[in-house]
Amino acid sequence: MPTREKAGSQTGAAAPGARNLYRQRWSESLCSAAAVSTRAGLAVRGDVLRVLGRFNGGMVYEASGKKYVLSEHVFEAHPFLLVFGLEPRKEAEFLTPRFTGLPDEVLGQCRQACEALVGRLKLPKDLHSIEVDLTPQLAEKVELPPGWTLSRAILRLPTEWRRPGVACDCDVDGPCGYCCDVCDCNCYLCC
Amino acid sequence: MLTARVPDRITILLTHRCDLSCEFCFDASQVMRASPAADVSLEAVDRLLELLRESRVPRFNVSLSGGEPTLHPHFLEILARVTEAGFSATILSNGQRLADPQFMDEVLRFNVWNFQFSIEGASAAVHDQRAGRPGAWERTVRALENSLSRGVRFITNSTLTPERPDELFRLVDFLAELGVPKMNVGNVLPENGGCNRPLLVEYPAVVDLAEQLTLYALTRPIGFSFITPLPLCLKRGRVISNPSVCSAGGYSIVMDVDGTLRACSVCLAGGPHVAGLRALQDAGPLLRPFVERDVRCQVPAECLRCESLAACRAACPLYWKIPGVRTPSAWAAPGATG
Repeated sequence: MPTREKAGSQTGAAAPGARNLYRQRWSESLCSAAAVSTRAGLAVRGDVLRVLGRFNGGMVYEASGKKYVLSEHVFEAHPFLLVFGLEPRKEAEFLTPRFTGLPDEVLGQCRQACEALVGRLKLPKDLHSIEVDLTPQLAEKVELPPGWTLSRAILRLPTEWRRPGVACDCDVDGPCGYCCDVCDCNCYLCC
Repeated sequence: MLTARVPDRITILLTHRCDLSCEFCFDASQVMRASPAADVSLEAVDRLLELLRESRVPRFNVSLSGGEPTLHPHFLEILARVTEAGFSATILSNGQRLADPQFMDEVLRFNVWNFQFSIEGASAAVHDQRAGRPGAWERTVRALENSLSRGVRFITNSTLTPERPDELFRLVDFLAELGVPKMNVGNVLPENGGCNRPLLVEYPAVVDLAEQLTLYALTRPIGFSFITPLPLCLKRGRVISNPSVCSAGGYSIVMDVDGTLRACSVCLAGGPHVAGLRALQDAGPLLRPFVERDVRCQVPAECLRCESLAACRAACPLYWKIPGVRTPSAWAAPGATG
């Protein structure tokens, strides 16, 4: 087997001083504070999807008439994307600046469950995605206040994790570069 | 700008022929004039596989694409040769032939890593109209069901066009209900048919839709990626499922039906002929100038000056070839951006 440095890896691990381009893209596009958009985009019917408000790290939106809160959190260095279904309430209650993030009782429950889960998480050997859907595992662990339902919990594998065989199928002609940053295998299937 | 790396994902365009005629197809001009005589030869495939073996990278993934790759008269033979060479295959298909369970079983005798099926609507009326063939949707859905019943890894690909943004939301619902594990959506790729300006969702509107689709899919039991590279400055602060960036000339190369190499399955800029290539490691450096030329010649000057260019690469360089598209400074105009 040839010795192949991951010279092209987005981490730039083989090139001291090189910037981690993946991390730059990821952090700038996904993990930064969300800006409130006022742009009127291409019209999608409001009864299909409507963003009701944004806050730092998330947003409140309505899909098919049901309200959701999306919130990104890092628990024990593991980035989670959490989506909660909300029972009907006054819309204004969830709009900025009055709604600025998950209530403490919701966040506390999620933090506890997520941290416990990632401590004993075993990824399947044939995992082929950088996003691991942990909704079933977490939904039964968190006890949320009335009106809140955990509808999606996605762990985005952090770059610090070195797991063999982790690669993604996000693109027709290949992935975005994340895979080689999280993958410690020598298959070079994707990177 | 581009990092040096050995290409280790190979796409072979087996044929430019297709039994559908999708309105937005980036391969449209080639599909229209393709003939069986111009399909990739077994000799060219063998030469490429030999190069892959010689490169000693242990587990290449060979994507078989086109046109519709299953129309190649020696499709199964090519699959057999890829398998015998020790590689896995990804098959990018419209699903028409794979609707036949017997044909799918024949295909699955080989080392198929996954399928990628194109589906362009949640109903026959929409899909068939977009794909230009009655009955196409029904066959594609049967191919999805065949994959599901056999436990085969697969994803779907769909294309965003401005006249029917709502249809993709319905498609999320439909595919989630069908049990499809993951779907990809991309913008029209701006080459050939994709240059048909009315079918292209321009920046920055496409970013809104990419986010809305991501948000919507998060409320349904299905994985989702928006796969077209988007400008980083527009993605900032948005929830978009995939931070993908143009990979042309990087880890992936494409062999066209005549054995020439390309940096991208969409961009028509060609490189050296496979037969003249001494080592796969040479392919990247040989192709890179074509990509560099596209980036340098096409993207707006303000992108070239941007400090994020290395990470962003101005999204898809081909986008900037379209006459009259607005540049970043125009996005920032009042009312144009958030």
